[in-house]
Parts: sequence; C-alpha cells; structure tokens
Amino acid sequence: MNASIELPNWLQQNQSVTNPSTKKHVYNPLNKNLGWLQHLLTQLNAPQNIHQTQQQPWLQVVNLGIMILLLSLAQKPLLIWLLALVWLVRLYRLSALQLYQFAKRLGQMSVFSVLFILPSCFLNSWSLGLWLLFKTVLILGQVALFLQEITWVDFIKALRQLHVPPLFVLALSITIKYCHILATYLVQVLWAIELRRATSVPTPFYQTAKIMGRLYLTSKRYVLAVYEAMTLRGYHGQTTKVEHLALSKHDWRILGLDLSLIMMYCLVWSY
Amino acid sequence: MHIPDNYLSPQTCGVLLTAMAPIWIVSLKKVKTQIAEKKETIPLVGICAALAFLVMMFNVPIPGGTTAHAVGGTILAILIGPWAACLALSVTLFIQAFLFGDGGILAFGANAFNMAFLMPFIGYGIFKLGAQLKHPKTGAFVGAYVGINFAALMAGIELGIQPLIAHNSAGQPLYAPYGLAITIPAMLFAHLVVAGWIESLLTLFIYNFVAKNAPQELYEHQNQGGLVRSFWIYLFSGLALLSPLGLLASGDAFGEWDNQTLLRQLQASHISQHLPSGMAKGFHFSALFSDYTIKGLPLPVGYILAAVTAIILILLLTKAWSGAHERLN
Repeated sequence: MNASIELPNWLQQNQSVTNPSTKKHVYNPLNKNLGWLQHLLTQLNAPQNIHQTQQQPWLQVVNLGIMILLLSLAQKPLLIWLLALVWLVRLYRLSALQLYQFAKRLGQMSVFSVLFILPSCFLNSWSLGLWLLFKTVLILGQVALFLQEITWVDFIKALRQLHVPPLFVLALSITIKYCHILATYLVQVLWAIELRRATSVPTPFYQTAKIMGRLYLTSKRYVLAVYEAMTLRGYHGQTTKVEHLALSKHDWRILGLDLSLIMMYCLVWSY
Repeated sequence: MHIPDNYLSPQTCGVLLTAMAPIWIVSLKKVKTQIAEKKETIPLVGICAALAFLVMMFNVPIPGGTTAHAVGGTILAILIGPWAACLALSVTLFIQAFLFGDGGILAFGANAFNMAFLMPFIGYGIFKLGAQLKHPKTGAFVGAYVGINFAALMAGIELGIQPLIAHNSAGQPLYAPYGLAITIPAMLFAHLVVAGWIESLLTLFIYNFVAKNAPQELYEHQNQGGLVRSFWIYLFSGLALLSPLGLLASGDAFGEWDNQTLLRQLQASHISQHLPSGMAKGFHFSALFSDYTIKGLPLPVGYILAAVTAIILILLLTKAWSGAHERLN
C-alpha cells in the first residue's frame, strides 16, 4: 500500500522567515536606544583601566575642585600656561592605553563646547572665541584626568571622607548600582519588543512612556522586596564605618602643589 | 540644558550653589520625614535617580529626522513627591557631572537649580492645581511643559547675563560670550518647539500608565495639597504686602488718567484744548473705595486691605465655581 501522505498546503508554501537581527535596518527608535543602552552597559561593565595614584580619594576631589576654580578665575595667559603645564606633566604619568582612553573621553566631552563656542568666533572675535575654547577644553581635560584616576568606589569613599550628608551618598551609591540593573532590564525589554514586532514601531512616544512606566513599577517592586529582605537581615540604613580625613606623605606633594598654585594665582593676579 | 564649566563665572556658580544649599537641606529633611514614615523611600530615591538618568538617555524621534530626550523632572515629582524628586535629580546631575563629564562641576549648583529645583517644583505645582480642578492629566501635561521651559529660560538668563557681569576692561566677555538677546531666544526656541512637547507627552503618558495600572504608586502625601496650598498662601500674602509698592511710582498708568489730567496732557501736547465730549459728558461711577483709599486710613493700609479683599473675593468665586462644576458632574 503506497499511501502517500500529503502535507497540508500551508506547510508546502515557501515562506521566507526574517531573522529579526537581519531585519532591514530602517531607522527606528528601538534600535537607536538599544545601541545607546548597550554602549552605556559596556561602559559600566568595562574593566576600568584606572591610573593608580597613592593619594587619598578626598584629596583627589579637592584637587579637582581647586584646579577647575583656578582655571575659571584665571584670566592671565601666564597662569593658564602654568596650569596647563602642570596638567601635561600629570598626563605624562598615564600609560599609553590610559592616554588613548583619556584622549577619546576628552574628545567626546569637548564636542558640545566646540559647537557652542565656535559661533562666537564669527560674532565677536577669533581670539576671544579660541581663548574661551582653550580654557573650556583645559577644564574638561581636568575632569577627564580625574575620571582616569579615580574609581567609583573611591569616589563614594571621598564623599564620605568629606562629610557629605550620608543620605545623599547612600542615594548616589544606590543610583549607580541600579543604573546598571535598570539599563540591563531596559535592554531586555527593548530586545523583546524588537523580536516580536512585525511592523514599524507605532507611536514611539506612547511606547516609550509605557516602557518607562513599566520600568518604574517593576523596579519599585523589586527594590522594595530587596529592601525588606535586607531589613530582615538587620540592615538599618546607617553606615557604622566612619571615614576620616587622612593625609599620607604622597598627599603632601599634591597639597603642596595646590597651595603653590593658589599662591601663584594671588601673585599673578596682584601683578 | 546641562551648563558646562567656564560658561558661567565663578561668582554666578557661587550664588546659585548658595541658593541651592537651603533647598538641599530642606529636601534632605523632608525625605528623612518620608523615610521615617516609609523606610522604603531610601532605595526609592536611588531608583528614581537611576530612572531619571535613563530617561535622559532614552531618545525619542522628532520630525526632521533627529531625536531628543526628556528630563523627567515633573513626572518624578508626581511619582515620589517634589522634595524627593529634587534630591533624586540632584544625584543624577551629580553622577552626570562627575562620571560622564556632562554638565560642569562648578556649574553643578546652577544645573541643579534649573533642573532639580525649578523644573520639578513648578511642574508639580501646576499638576496639583490641575488635580484640584479635577484635570490631573492636563495638569501633568501643562506642568511638564511649563516646568522645562521655565528651566530653559533660567539657563538662558544665567548664560546671557555673563557678558554683563564678567568682562574685561575692553568689554570682552570672560565667560559665555552671548548676550541675553541670543541666549534666551536660543534656549526657549529649542524647548518651546521641541523639548517641551517631548517632556509633556512623555510625562502625560507615563502618568496615565501608572495611574491606570498602579494608582496607589503615585505620590500621596498625608498633607495632600499642603505644598501647593502653602505656596499660594505665601505668594498671595507676599503680593498683598507688597501692593503699596505701586505708590512709589509717580504719575498715572497709561490710559488711566482722570479727566483733569487728560485735559492737561492734551493741552501740553497741543492736541486739543477741550476734553472729548463723550468723556466729558459720559457716565461716571464713584466707587466706595475710589483709588483704593479708605477715609481715615493711610494710603498703604488701604492698598493692603484692598488687595486682601480682592484675594478673598476671588477665592470665594473660584470655590463657588468649583462647587457648581462638581454639582454639574
């Protein structure tokens, strides 16, 4: 008996199945936001190639503040030149890879400033515009160097050493941890939508709002559950460890430099 | 709207940081009170700061092929209250300045003043007003729009006054080089036309979503409406007390002249020697407290009493209208 089994029509039709990952790459906000979020996660996950300094974290923060303040206040080219020299010497201590990372970061940070200040070259004068741009890039360079030299953990420690209100520091610490968790969750949600969507994204505003609303409600539920579990295990939200301001012999070097720069500023200013 | 360093003079940064200091102190105190009532507020502030950080990274397409993002100041205030939102947004701005170099470190006070104080408080105030008038969605939409535009206006003013307050002997600006005539239109145009609508729509939709799915998660303080009520009470009281300031100005306001003054002006300008007949023979009503004066009382007291009377009358009329509206519904 040669009974041939015929397949139903719908199984005999050739259907091209589109792989979501190879969908025609028309612009859609989902892809763009996925890209942004994955970039953020890569940044947060990347092993930080931090230049180890032997300074106390609080001193690094104070040093950054002093340098930015001096750069903002200084209007004499001599002082700016001296501050730039100090900055270049500190840059020289970075390894080649760290220097590359630093340059990349500084470039990204400076783009907006360049766009903002350049029109003033045409409206006012080139010398004024370039002077403002130079000073701004120098300030951003200080921030980029600071980021190259401090870890997030040390930064939190510095804030505790500087007696910033504990509630603020705690909120900051929770935020940085949850930025990672929330971004991961958001990436998963966006991938789920991207994989299941058949057409273009309808009403991106409405969808974005739904995603953000869902993100808020889900993360709130999650964080409350975690907090309850922590409370049950004895957590009471108070930090028992007190961070004190301490100074090592390496710290005196940078402190001396800061003091001499301040004196130099006063000297040049009065001159 | 994140102002980087070296755009504002250190003096401006100092003033705005000093202005923010009491706001942060009150925020911390208020949040501590919230924590005493609900311990979970501690992680919630962190969550909301992370959410604000992600909202600022989440791009929405706008006509013209480009994208823009919201700030989320008003929606955070609606979700967790304005004080906690102020703290959460300050934390977000702090991370952005120190971790990503987005926004200045010296300018942190200025950025916090615009985005962590003005935006959530103005947005929330208007939202509560809308909620009291039984239109919370309209309140959320308008609050977000007004909040972000007010913050942009402040940023424009802060940048625009720099050439006036910080310049060298040759008159060249030392910091942000553009004057108010450029910065205010530039900041407001971008926010009135694009960013404001994005902020409003996202605030409205997120509010709608949370109100539909989990209305209990919206911020409900025990002293509901207290913040807005006390704000209006302080505002009205202040305005009433300041009302005699108008006496410092000499002369009448344009178009508010009495017949004799008008005749004098017409004669001085060689326009006419007589009053227009319609005005000379027209209807003249003599009010009970004409020109805000009450016999036997000094003029400033009369002004204050007139202001208080007007405020009470307006509040009564608003209440009566609201009652009629409720009855109709």
